[in-house]
Amino acid sequence: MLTFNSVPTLMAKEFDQILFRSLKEGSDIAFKKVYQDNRSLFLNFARKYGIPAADVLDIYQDAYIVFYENIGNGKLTELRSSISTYLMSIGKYMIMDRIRKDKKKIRSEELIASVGEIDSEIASYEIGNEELSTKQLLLRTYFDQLGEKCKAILTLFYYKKYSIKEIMIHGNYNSENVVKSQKSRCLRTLKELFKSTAR
Amino acid sequence: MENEELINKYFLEELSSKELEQFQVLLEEDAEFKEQFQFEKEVRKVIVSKERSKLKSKLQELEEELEPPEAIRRFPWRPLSIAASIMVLIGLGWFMLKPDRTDLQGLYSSNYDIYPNTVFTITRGDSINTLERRAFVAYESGEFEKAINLFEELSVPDKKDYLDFYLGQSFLQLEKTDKAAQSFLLAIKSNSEFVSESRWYLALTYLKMEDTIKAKLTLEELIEAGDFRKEAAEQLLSELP
Repeated sequence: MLTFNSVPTLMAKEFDQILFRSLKEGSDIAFKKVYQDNRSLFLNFARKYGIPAADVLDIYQDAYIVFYENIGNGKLTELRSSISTYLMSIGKYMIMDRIRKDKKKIRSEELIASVGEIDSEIASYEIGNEELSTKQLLLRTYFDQLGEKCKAILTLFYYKKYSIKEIMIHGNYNSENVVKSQKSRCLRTLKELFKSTAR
Repeated sequence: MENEELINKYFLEELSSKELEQFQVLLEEDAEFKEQFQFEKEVRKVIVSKERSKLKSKLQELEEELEPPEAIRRFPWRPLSIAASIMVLIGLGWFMLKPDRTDLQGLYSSNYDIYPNTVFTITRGDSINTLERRAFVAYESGEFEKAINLFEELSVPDKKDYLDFYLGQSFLQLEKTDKAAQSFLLAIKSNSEFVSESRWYLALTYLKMEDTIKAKLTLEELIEAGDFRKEAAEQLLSELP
């Protein structure tokens, strides 16, 4: 039967580092790979808490998105445990959140204990995924109408947390001031569009 | 400090404690500041939600290719998935390593990534244990010696045109460059679906053998065909002495 003992486990750490860097650089292959590799581990884990399979998948995806975002926006700068551990911890945190909402207190303490040491770090991640209000939906419509440059600048700044300088480098702008004024202009346009109909 | 700068710093989470104080005072006392800040917070929320939906639909799309969650129990195929990750990583390495101009072996390893099994689907729970299946299982899990034996055994009764290509891959993995070159040449000659792929790997094999002239010629043929790794081939060609 097929065994994998021949592949040295000492490689695992280095592979994790490569994967981590690739995720950071936005590699699509890595994005898919890490998702797939941890999926059954998480699904099996979550099932123990009596959450329906469809919901578990939903939670896993949300956890994965938060994990991916925090690599992208620089909150998770270095990998101190394995990718799996991080991802699972975020997932566990989200299950806990779900259980809390469902007011099923059972076993949540056990779960808290298993989230363990990186708990406090994860608590600072933005995990909530509330629906947009009507006003925000309207704002989204106007955001979609902005030019590509505006959308890019605003997304890099507010979502990826790129500094003005990083946006300048990334977008080949001549100076930070150009980025700054472009960004204010975009915001102003959006605000005017929004104000003209919001009331 | 300018108000705009303060708001920017807030969103980048870079406010010092002193600046945070200033920020809070402004929020209470300056209605315009407060309004601008709240507007930007809304903008941020909209963007986050947009980006998250994009990622979510990407994952949902990916899900369509995977086994439904109800079907997952334990993970008997973990070894294969590890093997697959390793191959992906080897592939990633190709993008990440920067070639050293003078060092042919370095150039080889920065360009080399093993070609994944794209011809034979190994299905989870598949109980049919054909020769070909065993060959590709061995290939995917990095047991190349075993893979070679099985591929060769397979070639006798049922010669498929991609077998030479995968034989070449396996030999190259084991650094048996002569045999690898031979296999890739056969794959090119048999006009298999992997002709261009075989050229690329043949060029790499020559590179590994430090036969730059043959490597260059092969790369030129590949560029001419233009349907596989054309840019990588051009890049490599330009770097060869």
